Amino acid sequence: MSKMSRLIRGELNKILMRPILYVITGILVVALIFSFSIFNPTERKDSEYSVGGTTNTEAYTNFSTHTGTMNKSLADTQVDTAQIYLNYYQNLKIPANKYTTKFSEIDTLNSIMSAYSANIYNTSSNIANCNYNRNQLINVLITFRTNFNEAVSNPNLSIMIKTDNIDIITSLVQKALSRLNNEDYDYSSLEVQETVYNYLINNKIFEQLITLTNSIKDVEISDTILSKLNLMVTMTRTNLTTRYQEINSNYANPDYQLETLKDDIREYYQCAGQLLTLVQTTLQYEPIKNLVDSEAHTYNTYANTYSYQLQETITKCTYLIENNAVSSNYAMMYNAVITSNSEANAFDFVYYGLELCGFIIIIFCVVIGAGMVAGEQTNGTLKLLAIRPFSRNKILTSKLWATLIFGIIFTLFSAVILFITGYIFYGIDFTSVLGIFNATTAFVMSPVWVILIYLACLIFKIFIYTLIAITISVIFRSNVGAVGISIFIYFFSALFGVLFTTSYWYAYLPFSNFDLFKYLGGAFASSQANPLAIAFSSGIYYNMNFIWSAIISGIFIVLLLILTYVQFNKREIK
Amino acid sequence: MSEKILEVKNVTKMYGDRYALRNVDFDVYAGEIFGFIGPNGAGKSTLMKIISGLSKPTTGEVFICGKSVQKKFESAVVNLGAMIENCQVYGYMTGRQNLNYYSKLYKGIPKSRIDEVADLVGMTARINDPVRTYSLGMRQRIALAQALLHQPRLLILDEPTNGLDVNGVIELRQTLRALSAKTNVSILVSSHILPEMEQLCDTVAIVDKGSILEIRTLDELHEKNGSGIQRLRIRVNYPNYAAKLIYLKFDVPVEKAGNSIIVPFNPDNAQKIINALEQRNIKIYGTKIETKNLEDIYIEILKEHHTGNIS
Repeated sequence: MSKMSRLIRGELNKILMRPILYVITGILVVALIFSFSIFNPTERKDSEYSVGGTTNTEAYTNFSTHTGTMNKSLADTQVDTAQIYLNYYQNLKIPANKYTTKFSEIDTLNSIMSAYSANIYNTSSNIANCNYNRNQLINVLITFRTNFNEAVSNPNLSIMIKTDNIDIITSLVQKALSRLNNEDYDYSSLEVQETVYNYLINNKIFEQLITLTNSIKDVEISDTILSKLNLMVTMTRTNLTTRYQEINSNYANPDYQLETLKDDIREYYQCAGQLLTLVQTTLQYEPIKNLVDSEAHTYNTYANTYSYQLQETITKCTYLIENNAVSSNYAMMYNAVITSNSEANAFDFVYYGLELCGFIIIIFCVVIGAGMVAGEQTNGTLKLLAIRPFSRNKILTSKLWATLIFGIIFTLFSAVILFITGYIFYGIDFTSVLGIFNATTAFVMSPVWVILIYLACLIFKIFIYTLIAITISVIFRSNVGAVGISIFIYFFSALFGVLFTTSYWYAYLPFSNFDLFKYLGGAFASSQANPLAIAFSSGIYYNMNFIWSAIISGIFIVLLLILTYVQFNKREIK
Repeated sequence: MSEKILEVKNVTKMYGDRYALRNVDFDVYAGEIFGFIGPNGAGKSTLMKIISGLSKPTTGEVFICGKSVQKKFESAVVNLGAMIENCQVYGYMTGRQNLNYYSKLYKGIPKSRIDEVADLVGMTARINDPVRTYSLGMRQRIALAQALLHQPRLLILDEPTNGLDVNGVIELRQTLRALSAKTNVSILVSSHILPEMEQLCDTVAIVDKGSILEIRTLDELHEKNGSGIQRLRIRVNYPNYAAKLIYLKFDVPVEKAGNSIIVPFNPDNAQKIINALEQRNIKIYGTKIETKNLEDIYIEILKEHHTGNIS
């Protein structure tokens, strides 16, 4: 063992004497200054959630304007609609790969559905615009009736729906008239929508449609159905976002009652739950999964990417409800937008800065690692090392360790500098972090531990990319080649995370599994927050979890190690 | 009989179908300076690499101090110091840092040893300069220094005089000679520069196309190939005439080389030949007795071997 440590120390000394070290340190210092200059804690204040935008400022403006346009009931009805649509399509039970003459019928059915709901929407907004004018209201009702009759002119459906027409209209008129009679009542289009939807649900109109379509056999799923599903998920998701914004705007309001906040969370939780059910049930729907056209792809994008995030959200809400708490009692898992207790502090800054520095450190570990094997082979120095009384295994191990230690030294160095800078400028806050492990387990942890875990995950990533560089050096013996290929793989894996998160094979790729920190609750956040996190952290496919990623990465590491060691032992050193 | 430091047992190395080494088998004893002579591509470097474990033989085994390089690498090469074709030390470090790095790889090499070795190879003045500022010869010396650091029992030097100037070659020779005498280290040295090997080695092996043609001590070589074939070189004014005369009169083979004629040397007839030339008024500008050198022997052995192969 002392032999091994002698060797590692020698290798490390060699690295630390390389002139490139000045370049590395210089670039790292620039990175530290850069992350300090782009880190803007004031814009992050009071905002727990970003509604999007290319810059933080833009996102913040969007956020402020969106808070006024919220609508709870709308959200609920949309979720219900989505659920109903879902049931409807699920119950179609269409066998795949069969084309049929009945294809047009299912399309007709769809158009009726669309017309039906469009008419209801139009009418309800028309009613809302009638501001206390009886004549206008009556005109609206007449239009509604005409449109409705046109919409259901299909002989298959007309009988069933026409008989119910009167009931709907009666109900609507009654409601509207009662509003008109009561001048103090704040008249709202939502009331009408609610009435209509309640009616539809109570009278099992959709179920009847489903029964009807069940009788139509041998039909192929159409683009229209897919676009409907897509629309459904988009609608529900928009609704969820709106809810989130509402909750967060309320956090910012000092007069807002804690109880109301908790209600908001509960509602949000329900909404997320509904969306998750929607997404998960449709994922099991084979015809959709198998379809490869662009609609299906878009749909799957929603389903696969949001599934994990939704589960995470639900777990978080459940925890808050059960513990009678609100999320601002905790610091959130770090990213650029969600900050601990809405005030940035040293921990946030460490996380933020390390995203940038980690990226640079990995690149330099790749350069150094490749230089230690392929570089030394090229310039002939490896020969003088290989004739020392150390087996090839020991030499390779020492090189791997030395590069890793170099990476660890620089990581810790950056972390300490970032922490000190953060402490001086933003102060420190030990509020516990609420994290969600594997999207299923909520945990509360000191921010110190979270940062340490983050560092461990970063070092794990550094190790893997160093190993890749060394493997490539051993196989191809070319320094430039090894550095080039490794850095290409690094960028490529980042790009991969952005482009292919939605494909089912994504979860099986080693590159998707190197980032273990995302399983601590940063999935939702890191996917849309820090511009660097977007670029360099991979997304989560809905069936991935910590153990899965650990196993896939483990297998990858073992394969690389076997390949590297076998090859290096066999190799003749020229 | 002194101890065997290096035993090369029946080593064969093949690259694909081509034999790089074929059944190479020899021993090097303690304190011996063993020269490996052969044309480029004869397999000298391949053998050096196999001995130092950089390359694995197809069959056969190499023992250093009785330990197999192939099976017990670490305990075998602890006794080895080597300098193998275009080996380099780290250019961005100073000479001292390089030596320090290599010395740390072994247990218990004192710091003073670095100065000792630097002094031995004559690098004391430049030891603290970065290696990238060194000339080729200086790099060669630093490479030699690192091979000597841990006082190995066996020293392998592949083309050590590459890039050295005349003084450097002489110094190196003296250093190695002194080293061998002082520390009883065995030295295996390869080169294609024959006069140099002749002055340095105790034993030489002549290799060609992967096989050893001949292993002899230098004395043995001279005895076998050189005795009685001393030659007399006479510089004259009419070499053509003189050659014809001598051939007709004494019936000995005569060679012409410029203004000289060369005849086999024989103490009995040397005087007669000179007298005969003088009688015919041929002016003799000078005479010289030449012994066959390693170069001649080497060429002869190669020739012998080739004709042997053909017949």
